[in-house]
Amino acid sequence: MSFGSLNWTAFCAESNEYTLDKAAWAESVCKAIGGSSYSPVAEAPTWLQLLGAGVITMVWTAVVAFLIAFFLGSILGVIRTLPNKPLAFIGNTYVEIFRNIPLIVQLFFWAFVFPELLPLSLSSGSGEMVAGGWWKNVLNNQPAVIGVFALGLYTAARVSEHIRAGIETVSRGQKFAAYAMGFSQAQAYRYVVLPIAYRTVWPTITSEAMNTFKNSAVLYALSILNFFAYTKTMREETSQDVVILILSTPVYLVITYSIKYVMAWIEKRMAVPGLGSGGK
Amino acid sequence: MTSFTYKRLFGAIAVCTLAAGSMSPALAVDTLAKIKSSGKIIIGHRESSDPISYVVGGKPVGYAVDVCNSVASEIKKQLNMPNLKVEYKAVTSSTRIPELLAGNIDMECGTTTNSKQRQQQVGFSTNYYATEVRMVVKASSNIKSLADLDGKAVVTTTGTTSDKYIKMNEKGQAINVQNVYGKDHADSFAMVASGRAAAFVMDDNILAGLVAKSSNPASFAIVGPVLSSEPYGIMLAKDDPGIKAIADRVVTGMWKSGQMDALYKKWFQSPIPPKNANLNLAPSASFLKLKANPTDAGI
Repeated sequence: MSFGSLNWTAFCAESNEYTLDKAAWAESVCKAIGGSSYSPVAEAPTWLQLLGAGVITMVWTAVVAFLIAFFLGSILGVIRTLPNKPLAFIGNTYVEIFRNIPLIVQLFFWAFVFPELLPLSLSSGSGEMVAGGWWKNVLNNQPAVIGVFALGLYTAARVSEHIRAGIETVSRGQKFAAYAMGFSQAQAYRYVVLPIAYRTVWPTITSEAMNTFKNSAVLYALSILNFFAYTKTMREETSQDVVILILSTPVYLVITYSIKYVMAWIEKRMAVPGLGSGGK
Repeated sequence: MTSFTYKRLFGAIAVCTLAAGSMSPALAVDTLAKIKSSGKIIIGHRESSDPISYVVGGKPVGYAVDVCNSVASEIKKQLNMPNLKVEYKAVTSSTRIPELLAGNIDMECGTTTNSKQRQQQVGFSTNYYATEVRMVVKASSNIKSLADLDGKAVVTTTGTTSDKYIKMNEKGQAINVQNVYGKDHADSFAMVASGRAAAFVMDDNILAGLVAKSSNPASFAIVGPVLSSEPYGIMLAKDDPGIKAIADRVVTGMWKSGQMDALYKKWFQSPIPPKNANLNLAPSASFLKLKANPTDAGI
C-alpha cells in the first residue's frame, strides 16, 4: 500500500525484538496490505505488532494508575477537609510533595534513589547482595507495577486537590442541615457532602483522567515498553518519522476521546436535576 | 461539542494527513552548491557521545568532530572560499536523519553506524571508526563470557536490543538472559553500577567513555566476545557525489597518512576534557581492519 510518497509498509518490516512470538493479527494485516517490506519468514515480529502491544500496555497502565489515583486522591481530599488537624496535615504534606515534583523526577526517584535507601538483599539481575535488591528485581521483572504505582501516587495528589475543592464548594448550610438532622460526620459526608462534591468536580476529574493517560507515556523512562517507547525505538531504527507520527497522533486522540465519552456518560448517569452540568 | 464541530475536526485531520502524504520525495541535493550560496557549513554533532562527539564548555569536540573539521577545511579549499563559516548543530539519535534530510545540517559527525538500512535515506563517507559491541560488567563479578550471563539481567539502551546481539552470536543459544532497558546510556550504566543488572551491552567507545567518567573506573571492566562490529561514517545527503568525493578523500587520506592514528591516541589513549580522564582503550581488531582497508561499506 502506498500513500503519497510515504513508506507506509515500514510498519510491516521486521522489528528488533527477538524475544516475542509473532501475533496472528499483525501477520494477517501485513499479509493483507502486502507491504513490500513484509516477510512471512522474518524471525522477529513486525513493528505493527509491537506498536499494538504498546497500546495495550499504555491503556492498562493508565487505567490502573487512575483507579489508584481516584481512590487514594478521594481519601486524601476528604481527610484534608476534616477538623482533625494531624490528619489534615498528613494530607496537605502529601499533596505538597507529590504535586510539586515533576513526574519524571518522581519516576527516577523510585527507580534509582529509593532502592539505595533500602537494606541489602539479593539482586537476581546481577547475583549480588545490593541495597534494595528485591526492589531492583521488581524493576527488572515487572517495571509496570512500579510505574503504575508512581503515576498513581503523583495523580492522587492532583485528584485530592479537586476533591477538596469540591467539598469546600458545598455550602455550609447543607452541612449544618445534615448535622441538624442528626447525621454523624461520616453520615454527613456520605449522604450529603460527597454526592454534591463529586458531581461538581467531575469535569475536572475527567481532565485528570486524560492527563493520567497522556502522562503514562513518560513511563517509558522505567523501561516499560508502552506505545511511546515502541514509537521511539521504531523511529531510531527505521527513521520513518513522518509515517510513525501520522499513525501515532490519531491513536492518542482516539483514546483520549474515548475517555472523555466514558466520563461524560458517567456524568450523565449521575446527573441530579438542578445540580452540576449533567454531561452537557 | 456538536456533531458539526466533530466533522470539522476529523476533516482537518484528514486534510493534514493527505497534505503530509503528498510531500515531495527527497530530491537529490547538491550540498556544495548550498554551502557556496549560504556561505556556511553546518556540522551536526552529538552532545554526550564521549569521546567521539560531545560538548565541552559549549563547544563540540571529539574524534569525529576533528574528522568533520578536516572535511570542512578541505571544502573551503576546494570551493576557494577561505572565509566560509563553520557552524555546529547538536542532534540526537532520533533527530539526526530528519535534520539532514531537511538540509538543516550538511554533514553529521557522531556515533552513527553506517548501516544498509540508513543508506536508503542518507549517504555515508568512507568510515572513520569501527566500533565493537561488547559489554561492561563490574570487575568484581567474574563475568568473562556470555555463558556467565545465564539467568542474569542484561541492560541495553532503548533502540537497541542486547538479546538480538546475544542471539546472533552462536554461543548465546543455550543461555537465557533477562533484558532490561535504560532510557539513555547513562541510565543503562547506572543499572550496572547499582547492581540491578549484570552487564550493559553497547559500543566499546561508549562503554569506555562511561567507565572513564564514573566515580570509580577501576571497578568496571569491558569484557566478552565481539557481538557485532559496526563502522561509523560521516552522514551526508544521499546521492550527492560532490561532497561525498571530498569527504571520502579526506577520510581515506587521514587513514593513509597516520592522522587517524594520531586522533585515536588523542581521544582514546590520552587524558581528554572535561575531567581529564584517560579511556585507555586499545585499538580494536575492527578498527585495525578498517585502517588496513578503508571503505565506505555499511553493515
